[in-house]
Amino acid sequence: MASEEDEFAVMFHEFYPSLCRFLECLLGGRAASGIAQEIAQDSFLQLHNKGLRTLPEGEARFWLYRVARNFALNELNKRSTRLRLFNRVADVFRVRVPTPEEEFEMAERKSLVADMLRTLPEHQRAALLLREQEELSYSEIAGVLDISESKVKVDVFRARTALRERWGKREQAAARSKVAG
Amino acid sequence: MKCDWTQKVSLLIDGELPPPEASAVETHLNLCADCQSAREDFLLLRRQIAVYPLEQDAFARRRALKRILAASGSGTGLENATAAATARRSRKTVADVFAMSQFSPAGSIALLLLIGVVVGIAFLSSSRRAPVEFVTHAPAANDDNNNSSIAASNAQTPAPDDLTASANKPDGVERIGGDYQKRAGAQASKDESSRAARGAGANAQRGASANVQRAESANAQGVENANVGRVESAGGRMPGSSTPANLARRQEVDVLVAEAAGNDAEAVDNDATDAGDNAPPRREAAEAKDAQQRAEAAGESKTARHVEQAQLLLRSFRNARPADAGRRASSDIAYEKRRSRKLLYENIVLRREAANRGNLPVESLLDSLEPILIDIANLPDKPAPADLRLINERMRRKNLVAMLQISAVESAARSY
Repeated sequence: MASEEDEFAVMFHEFYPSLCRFLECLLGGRAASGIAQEIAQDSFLQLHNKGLRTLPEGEARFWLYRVARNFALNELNKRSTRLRLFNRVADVFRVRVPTPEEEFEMAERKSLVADMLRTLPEHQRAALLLREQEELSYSEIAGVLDISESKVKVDVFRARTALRERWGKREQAAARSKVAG
Repeated sequence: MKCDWTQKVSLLIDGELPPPEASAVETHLNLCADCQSAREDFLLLRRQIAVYPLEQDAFARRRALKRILAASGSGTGLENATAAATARRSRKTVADVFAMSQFSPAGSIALLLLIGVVVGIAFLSSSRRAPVEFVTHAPAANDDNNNSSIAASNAQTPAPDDLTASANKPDGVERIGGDYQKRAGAQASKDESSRAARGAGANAQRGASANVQRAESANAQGVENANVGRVESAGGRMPGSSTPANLARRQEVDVLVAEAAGNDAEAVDNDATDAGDNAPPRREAAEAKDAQQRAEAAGESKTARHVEQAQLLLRSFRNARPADAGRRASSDIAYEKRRSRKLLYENIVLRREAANRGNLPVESLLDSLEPILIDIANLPDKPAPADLRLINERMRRKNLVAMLQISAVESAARSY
């Protein structure tokens, strides 16, 4: 019989990467990869301190996502306050215009997916990520996000529709610029 | 125009509709172009979100695990550890803001100076040490970060944008037999590039360009990033692996893809040679077009057969009753495992062909079929009932059997 520590290690190796990915997408893409890893580690630390076996079987994964999402929400709140302050000062000093090459490079670097996801409200983004990346069912998502199943239905659908519209506009803009070019 | 059923389409692709309603929506889908395009777009989005890569190496992950075990083992206490982590994050966020805000170096210096001046004025009356402290604190904070294993693990993370560099590092998943995979990938890419070169000479532009892209991506970025190459060749459509747990399997599949690509390239060569080297250009073009159409038709009928077989396999797997008689159960599954392995090879080839043709519905169908086939093929000889239930549950959630059936019906309708 495997010890609790072994079980924890197995679970860590199995879910840590996907938890990091979930948090990274939730927090705004690659730029947040460091912070996403920290939050993922803190969530696992919480789980370890709580004791894996204190949770019902199969629940630990959802518990982890719940804790991680709460950490991420705190982070988003703090960040929005700080960013508002800094951006005001930053606007004054943002004098240098990037060259076309730099702009192209930057656009390439930015993940399209993360860019699109960032435009969604957090609750829709979380629901969609849990569905598409983690393949959780609606009832599982409802458990993680602590909302009703019907809200999950609506959130997932609205997120998809919004992204679809934005994607369509993007394509149209690309086609227009191609024609103009 | 928006159809009222679009939300149900969203529920359908999530496998969240009860069977009678699901079949009603499927019937509606056959009639409503609006819902069809919604389904395609939703599936495309799904694949783009699911394919978001995990960029971590196993070494950093192991270190993180050690840190967690040490933090809780050494009696640091949850509150202390969490408080420390929060403080660390606060420091980092400030650094992130500087990093993210795209300042020019001059702008950054000016901002620092401004902050220095403000702090200086504030403390002018008492002391002039404040700005100096600000400057000297920065390296101290860095040291602190460097000492913590988290900062070290961040350093291990590949640069977000440097795909080529990241290909040289191990991915978030530990590789089993990674060297073998790399060698296999390199060999396949070598073969591909030579075949692709010949194909290009014989006007097989479509196949050749696909091969060149595959070969280039495999050459430049290794087997893992062959995926990225495929994404580009499909015009921004990203194939994907959906579950996080499937990444390891994806690597395995990529090796299979690399092997299968050899056959692919050969097929293109043959078509190109059929077109005739000495014919006048127009005739040659017409013949090449004919050959292409023939190849596409052949591909479609192959796909239809494959879809039908896969459907049969999944149905028989769904009906298998495990664990009631141990020996019988294992022999039952053994048959499905064999079939699944065979279909998996076919599936990989056909999915790539569909991607090259730009046939999104087929590509996405085969794409969602693939992980299930891998799962069945990789089941132990005596699978636990939980394993079977898990796969069945995923099949149900994806509505896979119904999707396969729809696809089979559609292709049968086209052939008449």
